[in-house]
Amino acid sequence: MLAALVIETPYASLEHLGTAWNNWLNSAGVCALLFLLVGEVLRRTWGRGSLVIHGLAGNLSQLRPEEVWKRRSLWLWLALIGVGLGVALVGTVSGRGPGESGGTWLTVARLGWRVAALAAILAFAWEFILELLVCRWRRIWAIARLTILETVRQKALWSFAVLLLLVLVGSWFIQVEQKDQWRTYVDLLYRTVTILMVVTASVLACFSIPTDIRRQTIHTQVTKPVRRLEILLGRMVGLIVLMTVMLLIIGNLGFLYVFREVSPLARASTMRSRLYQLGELHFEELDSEGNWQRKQTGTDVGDEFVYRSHIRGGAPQEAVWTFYRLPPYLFDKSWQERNRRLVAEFMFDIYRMTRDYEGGGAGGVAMVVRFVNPRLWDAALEADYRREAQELRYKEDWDEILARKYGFYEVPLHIADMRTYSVDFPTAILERLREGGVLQVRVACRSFGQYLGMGPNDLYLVVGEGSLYLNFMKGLIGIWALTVMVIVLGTCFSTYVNALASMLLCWALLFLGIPQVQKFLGELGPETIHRMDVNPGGGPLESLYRLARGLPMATPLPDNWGIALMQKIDTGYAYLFRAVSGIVPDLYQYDRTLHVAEGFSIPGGELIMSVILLAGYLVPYILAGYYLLNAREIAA
Amino acid sequence: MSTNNLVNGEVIVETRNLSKVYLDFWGRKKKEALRALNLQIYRGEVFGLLGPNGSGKTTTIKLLLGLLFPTEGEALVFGRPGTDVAKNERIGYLPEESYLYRFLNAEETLDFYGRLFNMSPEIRKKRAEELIEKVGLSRDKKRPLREYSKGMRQRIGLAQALINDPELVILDEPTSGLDPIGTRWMKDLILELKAQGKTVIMCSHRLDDVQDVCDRIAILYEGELKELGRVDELLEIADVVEMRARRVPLTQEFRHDLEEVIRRHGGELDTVQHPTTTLEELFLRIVKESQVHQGRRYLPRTERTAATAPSAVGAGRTEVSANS
Ligand SMILES: Nc1ncnc2c1ncn2[C@@H]1O[C@H](COP(=O)(O)OP(=O)(O)O)[C@@H](O)[C@H]1O
Ligand SMILES: [Mg+2]
Repeated sequence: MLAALVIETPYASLEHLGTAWNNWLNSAGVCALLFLLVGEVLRRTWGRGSLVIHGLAGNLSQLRPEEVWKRRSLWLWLALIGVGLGVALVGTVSGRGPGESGGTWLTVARLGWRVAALAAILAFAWEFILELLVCRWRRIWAIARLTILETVRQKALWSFAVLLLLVLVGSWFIQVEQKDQWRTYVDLLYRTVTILMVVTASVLACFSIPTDIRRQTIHTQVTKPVRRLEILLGRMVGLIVLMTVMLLIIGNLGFLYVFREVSPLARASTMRSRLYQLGELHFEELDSEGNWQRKQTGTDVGDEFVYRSHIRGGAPQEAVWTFYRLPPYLFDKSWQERNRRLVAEFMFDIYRMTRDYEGGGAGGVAMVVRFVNPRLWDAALEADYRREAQELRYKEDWDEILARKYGFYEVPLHIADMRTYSVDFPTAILERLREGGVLQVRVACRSFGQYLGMGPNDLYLVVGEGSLYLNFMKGLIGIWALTVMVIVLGTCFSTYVNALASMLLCWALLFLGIPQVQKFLGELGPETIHRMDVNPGGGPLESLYRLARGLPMATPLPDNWGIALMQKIDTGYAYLFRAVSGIVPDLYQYDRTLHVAEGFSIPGGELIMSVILLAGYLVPYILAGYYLLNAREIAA
Repeated sequence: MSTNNLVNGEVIVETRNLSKVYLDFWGRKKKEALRALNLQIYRGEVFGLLGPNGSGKTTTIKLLLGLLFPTEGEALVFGRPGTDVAKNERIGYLPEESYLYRFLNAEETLDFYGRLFNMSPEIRKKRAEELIEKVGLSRDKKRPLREYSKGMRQRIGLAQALINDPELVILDEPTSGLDPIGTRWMKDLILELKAQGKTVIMCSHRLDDVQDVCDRIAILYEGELKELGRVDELLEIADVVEMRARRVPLTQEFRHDLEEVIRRHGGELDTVQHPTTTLEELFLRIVKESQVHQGRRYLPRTERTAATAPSAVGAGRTEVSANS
């Protein structure tokens, strides 16, 4: 049996595009504004030759007469920044006041800020954008081609192949049970390939421009009419093409290898690519008047896990998953005739109140899963349903008839802690959904003294089977994204610092980007900085204060304006920290090993979104890389 | 071309008060390499930057090309600062060492630089063929540059500098490390470029090279401009007259006659002697003869009686110099 899909942190999907854009605009906007301000201050105090200005206005300050518009057009963006910030300020101040117009004002303020942020980004990127327009693909490709030839002819890739071979040979000696073969080998292969790709990419990227500079071969290059942006992009494109081809080769060989390693008996059951559908979870509880009340969480059992919420056994409390966006083909009658049953899979946490009554005894905890079309079904119909079920028992398809008629189907079962179960239900229940409406899956616990804990993604429908090979390749896109990230970061860093320093920077960022570290960094954000349970001792200033005063971490602080100010500063620090931590990648989004190994098809939307996020993350780095390379005295 | 003509000509390169201080990563001063250089270089001339090692020649060139940024002053080429990329369309540059990609062969090298000029494939191919022919690398065009000798690298380096048929050619030590044949070839090529109306800037610490090809020179020492002017004017020794005569026996009598003529004009005879050729010419002639008569080799004097001894070039020629 395959394990369930445990997604405790959701992957970004295309629905999050708007939010992602706003977040990006905020972070990049703040950074751009800061850079513009700092740049202006530096220019006024330090004069020409300062780093930022050389980069920013390096080309724009030495324009031919017919190109002066390029510099003049900067004023447009600066004006827009002014207007936008003005509107934002007015909106915020007016929105503060009482009255119902507050909301409108705040919307206006937000709009103003966005205009200002966008204009700041455009102003900052203006030279880059203009430069992009005059870049020629032939020159970029010339440099990309050179990079590829260089790497291939200097046989830099052999070490890579040797390492891969070592790992694969090593894996022959692993003994794996049949049911775990696919999972184990996919996991092994993905991890190996990830590490090899990232290491190789970081070495190649961090050394490519510095080597060119050290050997002075770049002198012959930059004295041709090639733009520095073309050199930067060319290097990146070359390495990306090279590594993509390598990944494709290794990926396909790896697929063959894993396919052959898995015993033919285990193939059908473990090598899968299930299309799954997640629902939205809420809880319902019967109140004293006999009405079902909707709640966001179930009973709090004081569990350490915030992700899961619990329902109490034997109580009128239910966990409800609503499936709003089922794929339309499910409602098709002919499809339903061909596929009489669909499967829901789930895995719950069991929490017990009494020590003697462990996990519901040998039989497990009793529970019931109900599939409901809320438009048709009503609790009042239950008596009718039971009677009719009694009458129809002799018919083979009694459950389908009833599911179609009542929009209801019920499966009672016993379960153990954190194990995957799958229940099937007749597709006939979906028939009337074509008219609109949603499918609900309601879960109740029947064993007294037991609690069932569940999170949003602990139950899902399996709505089809995708291509295994395709899914394997989709999983590689995660590795590809990481590789591209490392190539771009390494190349950009190496425009200014030397190869080894670039490598260090690259690896430091990657380290900060791994999910465990990200979680830790997230706790220093403005929402949680003052929460005693997350950050005992408070923010940086508060901790210092406690340290100086010798106060234990949990002691409440005196209530005076000094302390209040200190905590305000800590909050400000947390906001700044949040903005700055945008420079760290969120690697979680790119690791899809779980899906492929456990046999779940990676949703295409999430894949596209991860690539979009990658692009958004990398654009500022490319910008910085270009400005730094432009500011660099190649021969110094 | 007269001096006058040059002065009125179009200024191609200009430096105004150009200074360069090398700084390290932290902005500390490492070396003041160039101090307030003022130069004007005109269309069509061959201009030489002369100076000992470390005098700032390469620094000047790098400033012109935007490889370095001036600490003070301006370096203008075609009226544009060094950092302007578009001006590079009309420039060819041969670095001091031929800093080319050693894993490419000659054809690939020229193709690569052709692409950087955004040339179409047909034009690239045509130019590459012409240039490889011109610099005499046809037989080695498929070999990677890492196998090339210094002379061959210099040739391919020159070919890459000429790929765009530039108006201005900048050569950094074009003859350093070359054998006399290579040196002569390079000098002939520079003169050919001049004949095509191109402007050439070359720098060198080898005085004879500069003397042979340059119209004007600037002498740099420790980053400062020490002398600037036309080569023929700078080198003229105004109070000495030199004459050459053929087929006159160098006898005591001849010497007396000469002395008398010179004294009558108020001067005094300095030296009368057979001129010597330069080693360069001797070497080149030997190489040329060897190519015609293969298998001939040096024999010790005693064995040489039968063989025709290579006669000195200057035999039968007399060189006279007199102080006036
Ligand atoms: N990148 C550099 N960093 C520090 N000093 C340098 C650098 N390049 C050249 N120099 C110094 O500047 C001076 C002039 O060098 P250069 O222009 O190369 O001389 P030339 O080409 O006339 O031999 C020398 O003293 C040299 O040591
Ligand atoms: Mg030099």
